[in-house]
This record gives sequence, structure tokens and C-alpha cells, in this order.
Amino acid sequence: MLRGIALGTLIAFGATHVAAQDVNGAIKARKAHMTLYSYNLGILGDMVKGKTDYDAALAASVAADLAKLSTTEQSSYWPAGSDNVTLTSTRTLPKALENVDDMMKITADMGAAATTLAGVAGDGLDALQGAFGPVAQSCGACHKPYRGPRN
Amino acid sequence: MRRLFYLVLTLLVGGVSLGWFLSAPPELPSDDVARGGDAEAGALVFAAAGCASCHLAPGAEKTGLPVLAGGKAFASDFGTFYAPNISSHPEEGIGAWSDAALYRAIVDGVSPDGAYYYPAFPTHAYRLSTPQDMRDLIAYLRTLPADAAASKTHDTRFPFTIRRGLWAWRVMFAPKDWHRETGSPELERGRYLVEALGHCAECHTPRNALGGLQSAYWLAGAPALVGDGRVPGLRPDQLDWSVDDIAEYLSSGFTPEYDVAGGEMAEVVENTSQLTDADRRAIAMYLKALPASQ
Repeated sequence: MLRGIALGTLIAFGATHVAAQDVNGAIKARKAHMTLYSYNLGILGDMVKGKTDYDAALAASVAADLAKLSTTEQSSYWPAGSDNVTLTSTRTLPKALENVDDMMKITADMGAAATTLAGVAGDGLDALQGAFGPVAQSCGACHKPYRGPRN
Repeated sequence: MRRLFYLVLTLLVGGVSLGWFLSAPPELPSDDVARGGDAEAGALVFAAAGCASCHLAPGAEKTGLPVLAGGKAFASDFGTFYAPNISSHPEEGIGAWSDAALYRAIVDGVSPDGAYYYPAFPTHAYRLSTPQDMRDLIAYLRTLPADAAASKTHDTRFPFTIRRGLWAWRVMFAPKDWHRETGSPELERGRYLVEALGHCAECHTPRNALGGLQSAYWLAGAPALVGDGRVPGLRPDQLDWSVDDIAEYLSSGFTPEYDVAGGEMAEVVENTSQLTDADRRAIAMYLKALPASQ
């Protein structure tokens, strides 16, 4: 019986350790994902703003990457306990983790906007500028309700 | 002993009466001050002043004309205040108010009944606005839809329930004039948008124990109003963005690193994105002209 208790304790300890890994791993992964978004948005945004010259081939390929990134399965990025009240390593508000379905819907909206952008990004600066706005707005749709301030 | 008692009583009654007399709210302005605004111009004043960000019902859809049903909660050390219904409903909103009453409400922060509004409503900023902008804003507000939601009573406790006491708060803490000397006409528009309509200092400046803004730390950052975070400082040593960067952020919400505004600032960007490029640049130039923080 003692062996059973010992084994059970070991498994429970191992499970919570793995769970902690999951939370920290998920936080790192979602931050990395956002960094990839901002990297690609930056290349397109600089063309939209006129800071860099419009390059149709580059715009098309970067927009295609952005569309792929925004249509990956992302629900595992948001495990319980990965909020800014429990941890200091994230700005995610607790109510985000209570509304993962809504976040996934917003993610899907971003995916749709990014897919539209990818379809026209190579068709000229006007087309790029027109389709860029909805993608930018879709970022705010999640950040506004679900991300907290900096510390 | 009895003489002392009567002396103290007289002083007390005299003091309260004097205070009551001194703290009387201002009279209603004449009609021609408040009437005749242009609703189309008023839409831009509405965006710059950010009325929707506080007076829309929480979770309201942002399509079509804004329905200013109120209900949003603002927690503070003095209680929780609820934005009132300022839709054009004749009973629950401002539909039956005269233009003069509405003008005094915004510029003097006094209700039609003569009660002072709590400083959660930044009337001390709005009073620096031009009369024409206020007339235009009133005309625009009249075009907005009606909603029958009753305004919620503020959840505050004695002594903050005594609204007349807010006269003293205003005497002590409401700015009497512009915070910054501009020294040039280019910066005047930026100052107007930041200090009067935009009321940026309400979030970006720290407050003292009685909730007044600490003007020595103007726009130098403050604790977040709710929760543990910080509202960033906007002085040039705290915000190293260029004028272009700031103007872009106020237009699209993109930071120079292509992060995107979140939280309350996302709501601000929804408003500032409706202004002209020139206005956004004016705000940016005002910020870049601020002195470094201490």
C-alpha cells in the first residue's frame, strides 16, 4: 500500500510538473507566434506606409505566410493558469482564458482577413493598402478585451 | 461655557451657510451660447472628446450611430461610478434637456438640477474647449438614437455622496487654464486636442490621495485605474517614438514594432482614427514638445 501511495504521489508530482511546463511552454509559444505576426505585418506595413518601396512578389509571399500563420490551430496556446493574475510572464487577462471560444472566433476572423490580403497583396500598392486595414483591426479585436497593461 | 457653545454654533452655522453660498453652481448660459451648432462638425468633436468610449453600454455593437445608453462602471478609491445615459431619450437621456442645460453640463459639470458631476466626468478638461466646438457637439448629440436604459446610481459612500463638496474638489484640483505654454500656433492645436478634448491626462497623469491630478507629473505615466499595470508616460524621455510613429499609432493602433494597441488605448485609437492626419500629427507634436520627466 505504501508503494501505491508513493507511486501515486510521484505520478501526481510528475503531472503537475508537466502541467507547469505546458503553461510556460504555451506562453512562450504564443508570444513567439505574435512576434511572427508582427514581423510579417511590419514588412507589409512599411510598404503600406510608404517607408519602403512596394515589391509585389515580396508582398505576395509575406502575406501568404501571414495567412498561413493566422489559420493554424491555436486553442492550445491558452491553458488554464496562464493569465496575468497567476503569473507575471504574460499580459493575458483571466477573462481571456474563460472565453477561449471567443478568442478562437476572433482568430478565425483574422485568418479570413489575412487570407483576403494574401489574395490581393501582389496586385499593386492600392490593393495592399485596402486589404491591410481589416487585418490590423482584427488584432485589436482580441487585444482590446483580453490583453492587460504592461507592468 | 454657554457663551462658548453659542459662539461655536454661530461659527458652524455661519461657516456652512458661507460654504453653501460660495459653492453655488453657475447659472445656465443664455440660449445663443449653446444653440446653432453644426452636427457634422460635431461628429469630429465627439470623436476627439471620446464620449462614446465612456457612454456606450458595455459590450455595445459598434455599428451605425452610437447608442449612448451608459452603464459602464469606473471603479475608484471613492466608489464605483456609472456613466449615465446621454442618448436622446426624453426621460432617461438628454432628449428633454435644453441646449443651455446640456452646455452647462459639459462645460461646467453641473446637472440640470444644479448638482455637480463627479470628476470621473472630465468636465475640467472640456471647459477649455471652444464654445463653437461645444455647440457643434451638442448638435451632433441631438442626432443620436434614443435608448430607454435608466442611468445607474453611483455606488459611493459618505462623505463622497455630498455632491456640493465637489465644488471644493474643483477649487483645489481642477486646472484653471492650459497646463503648457505652447509658444507657437502649431502646438496650439495639439494642446487643444490633448488638454481639452482628448483629456489624455486623466489616464496618463498620476493622482494624489483625493484623486486630483498631480500636475508636476503631467502625462508622465500613472498606475492603471484598474488592476496592477501601468499607463505609460508620454514625455519624450519615456516615449521615444517619432511624430510619424505617434501619428501612425493614433491612426491604426500599430506601434513601430507592429504590436497593436490593446485595452483602453484600443478604444482611444478607435476615436483618434476618425480625426484628420493633421490633428493626429498635432497631438504627436505636442507630446514631443513636452519636457523630460523628472
